Amino acid sequence: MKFRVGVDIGGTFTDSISISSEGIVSTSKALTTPGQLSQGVIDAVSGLDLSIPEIERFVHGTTAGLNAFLERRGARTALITTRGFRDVYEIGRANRPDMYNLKYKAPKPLVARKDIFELDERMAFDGQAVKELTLDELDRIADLVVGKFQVVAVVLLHAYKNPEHEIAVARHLATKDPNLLVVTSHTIAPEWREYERTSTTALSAYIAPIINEYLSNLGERLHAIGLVPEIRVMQSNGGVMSATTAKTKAIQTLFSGPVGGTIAGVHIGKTLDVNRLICVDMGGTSFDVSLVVDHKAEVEPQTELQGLPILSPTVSMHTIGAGGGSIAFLSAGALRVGPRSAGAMPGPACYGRGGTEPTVTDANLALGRLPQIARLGGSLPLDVEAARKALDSVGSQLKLDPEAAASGIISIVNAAMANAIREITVSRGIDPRDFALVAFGGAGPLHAIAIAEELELKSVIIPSNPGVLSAYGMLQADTRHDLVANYFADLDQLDEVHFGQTLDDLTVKAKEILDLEEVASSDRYLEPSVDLRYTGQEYTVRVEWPSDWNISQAIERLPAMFEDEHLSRYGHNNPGERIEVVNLRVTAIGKNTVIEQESQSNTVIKEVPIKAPLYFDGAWVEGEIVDRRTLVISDVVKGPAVILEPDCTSLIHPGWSATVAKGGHLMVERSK
Amino acid sequence: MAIDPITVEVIRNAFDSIANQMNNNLARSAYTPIIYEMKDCSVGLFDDRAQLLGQSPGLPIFLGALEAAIFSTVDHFGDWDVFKPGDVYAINDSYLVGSHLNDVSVFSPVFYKERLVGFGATKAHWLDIGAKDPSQAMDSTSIYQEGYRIGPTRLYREGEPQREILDFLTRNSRLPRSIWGDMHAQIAACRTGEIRLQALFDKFGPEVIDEAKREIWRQCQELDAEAVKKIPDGVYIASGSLDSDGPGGKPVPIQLKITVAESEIELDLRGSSPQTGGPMNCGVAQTISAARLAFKFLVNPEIPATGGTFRNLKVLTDVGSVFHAQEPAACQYYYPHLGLMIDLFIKALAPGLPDRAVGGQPSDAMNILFVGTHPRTNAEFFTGEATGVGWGAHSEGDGGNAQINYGGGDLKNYPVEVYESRYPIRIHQYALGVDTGGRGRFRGGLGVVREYEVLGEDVTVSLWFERNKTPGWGLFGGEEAISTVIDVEREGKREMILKVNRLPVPKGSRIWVRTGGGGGYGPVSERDPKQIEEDLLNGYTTEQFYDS
Repeated sequence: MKFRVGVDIGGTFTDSISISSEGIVSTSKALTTPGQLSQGVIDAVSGLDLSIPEIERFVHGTTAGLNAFLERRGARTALITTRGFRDVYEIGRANRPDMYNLKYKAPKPLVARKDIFELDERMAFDGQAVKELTLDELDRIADLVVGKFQVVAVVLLHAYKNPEHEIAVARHLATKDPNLLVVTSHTIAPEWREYERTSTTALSAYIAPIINEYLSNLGERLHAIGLVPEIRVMQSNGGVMSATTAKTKAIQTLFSGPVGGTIAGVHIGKTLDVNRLICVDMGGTSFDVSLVVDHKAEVEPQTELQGLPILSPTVSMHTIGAGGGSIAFLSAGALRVGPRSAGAMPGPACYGRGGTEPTVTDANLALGRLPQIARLGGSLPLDVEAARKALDSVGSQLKLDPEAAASGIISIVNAAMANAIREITVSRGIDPRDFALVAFGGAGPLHAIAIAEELELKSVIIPSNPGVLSAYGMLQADTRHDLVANYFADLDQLDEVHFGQTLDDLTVKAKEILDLEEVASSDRYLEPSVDLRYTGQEYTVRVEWPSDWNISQAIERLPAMFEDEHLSRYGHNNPGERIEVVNLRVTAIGKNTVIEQESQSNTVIKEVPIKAPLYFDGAWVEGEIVDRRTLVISDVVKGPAVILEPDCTSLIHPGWSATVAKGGHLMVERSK
Repeated sequence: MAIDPITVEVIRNAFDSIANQMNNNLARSAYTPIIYEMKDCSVGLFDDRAQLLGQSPGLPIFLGALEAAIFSTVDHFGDWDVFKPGDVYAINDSYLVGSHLNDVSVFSPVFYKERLVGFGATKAHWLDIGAKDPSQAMDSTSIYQEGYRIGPTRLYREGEPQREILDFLTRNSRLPRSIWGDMHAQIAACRTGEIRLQALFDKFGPEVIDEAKREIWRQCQELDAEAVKKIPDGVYIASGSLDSDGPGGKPVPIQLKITVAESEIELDLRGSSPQTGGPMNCGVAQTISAARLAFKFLVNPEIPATGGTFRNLKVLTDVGSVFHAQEPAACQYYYPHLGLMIDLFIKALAPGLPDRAVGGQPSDAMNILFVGTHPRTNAEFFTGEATGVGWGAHSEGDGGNAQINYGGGDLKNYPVEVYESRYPIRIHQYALGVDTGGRGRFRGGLGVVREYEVLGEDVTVSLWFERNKTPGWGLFGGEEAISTVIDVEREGKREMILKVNRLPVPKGSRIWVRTGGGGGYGPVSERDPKQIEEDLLNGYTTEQFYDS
């Protein structure tokens, strides 16, 4: 038997899931082991129903890089930049997003000013060297960094246009110290905009030594216990890459955990034949929203982390501070919820770890929506009395009983989440009513139906294995690499030969990388595209064309395709206006054949559901508590009901019914 | 019976979210980056008497700047009954809505069951409205040189586009397509507000929404009153002067008298400079909006503004002054005196709010604009950018380095690589101005150094820089910063020029922009030696800085 395995490291648990070639799924969780993350991975994999040598594909989402960034434990990094531009990284874009805050602090660069060194050299915008780089200058800069830093980032002005000087620096440093890690901006983010490129390259350098050490260590340990294939790593762009490639592209591992859920959404959409999905991941502190349209996750060329820009394609994810741990409090007689969270310590009052402020989780518990037998994370007993007491501390001041306070808190947080989705969809020109909601994360399936009611959505999907969904997404993901070349020109004056040559160069690179990834030729897909905009705009619209078009065909049709894309994204276009080309792109994809999860057959013993009181619309009603593991395909659970499984609780409101659909996913719709 | 707090909170959230949705729709469909990228715009949702329900952040200087458009339209037509379903109005008259003519307010009434229940309103910077020079002139002396002036005007009358008006507005601009695109983006944003507010009325009904808004305003008013009560009662005074009202112009003195009594603040700007002969003036509506921003910086900055905010703020101006200009005063540079006013407001109240105040900063947009013929295309090009400044230090730390001034918010700089690819200009240096911050227990932020070389033959430069004579001041023993200095070198001759319109700069000319730093906070003798060491190690300061 052959297996695919996906492993995702979370803050508390490391999740793993396997699927056999016949579609049999097995899951396992182990405690995350901070400081030695690979141990948690091995523990989790050991809990799966398979033997290690049977694994044919091993995909891993690692938070090693993200955590190193968040805790500022990255490597001491030197930054080499063009003379006159040492402060580009610190100045940033000079804007103040927190605009009424007189004490606003701009995001702190990852490299201190004293570790930034100016190099006497200069490229012009067209790639001509205005000032040549001399050997003496290379020696001078090498003396400043060799032996003093673990890693060196090199970002020279206009290197996206002509990387010669960056290459010269990297080669020279390699001759002085072959073990010094050197990260150049033209390999990490060959796009213009010096601050964004600096931020991206510096961040990649900052986490690279940690990622490299972690992946080497994990690889050695897994191979020692019999793993045959190379580890693959989930990337921010929603695809996977080999561990070898990951070592040169640390930045791409940054969001490898969170995007797994969205990629699972892509797969669920295919299984259930639903084209438009809003994926919501609600955990303890945050609510993440992402969109899947026509079986593709939305990928944006630029994102940011704690205010620092990152020029690397990333599945777009919008986050608001609403989760199970969000705290309710009073301000001038108003009841507010979040964004402050009780976190894991002390956690909600009902965790019994000393929390006294009421949270969303306490509210759910007090309304019967989180039955006491639903132990969070599989182990924690919940204290209803502590929850009611905390709710009363706020409710009594508003003359509300604990139930009324609890349903108030939930109404407020649900409305905030629905508003967040509206704000995202309106900025895309999308009507949310055409979408189905996919809800996951510890708290997502508890709130999903209420959000769907608020947004007038017709259906909600609660995936099978919602507790290990990110890992599930990983094992279904394709191999993917995004290549880019800066190409600044007027669209109507394109030099067809030069344009074609640049595209061919990218295509060659794309093929090389797919060779490295050992993708079979029948699984290879190349998606050419170009970033276009009207002259004067900063942001671009990406226009894709079929890879079998020839260059003149593509160039001829690009203006019309751009106008259409502009119209659908922005609601208007300006035919006849000048259009600029900014970047050429090729996305290289190695298709991963999808294995469908086998639906459970009628072998499980039916249990009589337990009846329990649930609070809806100001009154207690009798609902059913159902164990999800007893459900088989086509079973229907009518609301009001709570569906329990080891690490997730789903609430089915009155008037809604959940049907077990293909793949074991719950399709929840208004009852007929 | 009083409305329940949960409904109030859900509605409060909805008002803010509707404003955000309007803003997202504006950003999504705006044609020019100055709106969707630089956020030179403002968006608000109002009730049937133009009281604010929710506002979404745009340019901070436009905080609370939208209701003037609605009120002056009512004044003009004489009655609230003028509004009909499907109407859309525009207005940009500086004397009515405050800022320069480029900022055009567009709003539409919202009806629910045939009753006026509110307004969706937007204000956005239109790139070119037919002024004497492309984009904007730095030396206008009357409003008639600054482009077309729109009084309260219907763009749509009961759903029908007023084609003659739309034609006039686009035909008289050098950039008709952007005007068309941005105007329609504003209309689309107002429509979003209309649809969402109607949906909210459907859900809760007029009575509940009415009660909720009053409760929301009451809460805001209460929080603001509590905050102001913490400032000791008394009269707080500050005064200062701007370098000049335009190229070769005269200094512009302004003075503030702030009276704090219980929970009320009165800002008296009377006695400040009469309206100037240059482009530095604004309508009173913009002065009120700038006063609101100054107030918001110190009073509950973290809470979104509503119709209950600013009720305890009163602003007094002399008619015909730089803060309350009358026809035919030019208003292109509506901001420098407001920037100084905000700076002085914080300085004056610092003794009463020592933990909230920050040291002074050169609070101006600091514009440099090249116009010329591009050698590669032979087409006319024009640049335009604002430059960051050093911010004042405060009770919790050093001032911010190289950030856009008080009024600017999300205004961004122009990347060097994009600038050089697009224009025949080379930038030789973009750096922090070492030693430019004021000394103190906490050091003022550093200004910016940006050095330009002209590579084209037929190029002119326009400059608008301020606060050379009035650098960022220190607070509580903190020291003054280094002020703004601009040097222009043409054909080997170097001179300092702060303001100029279309100065020819032959190929090879160089311009050094050095914006001022922020003022220090507390005596430098109390500075932590570790921080001095860090300053020296990182080169934010030289040895001499801490010497004398």
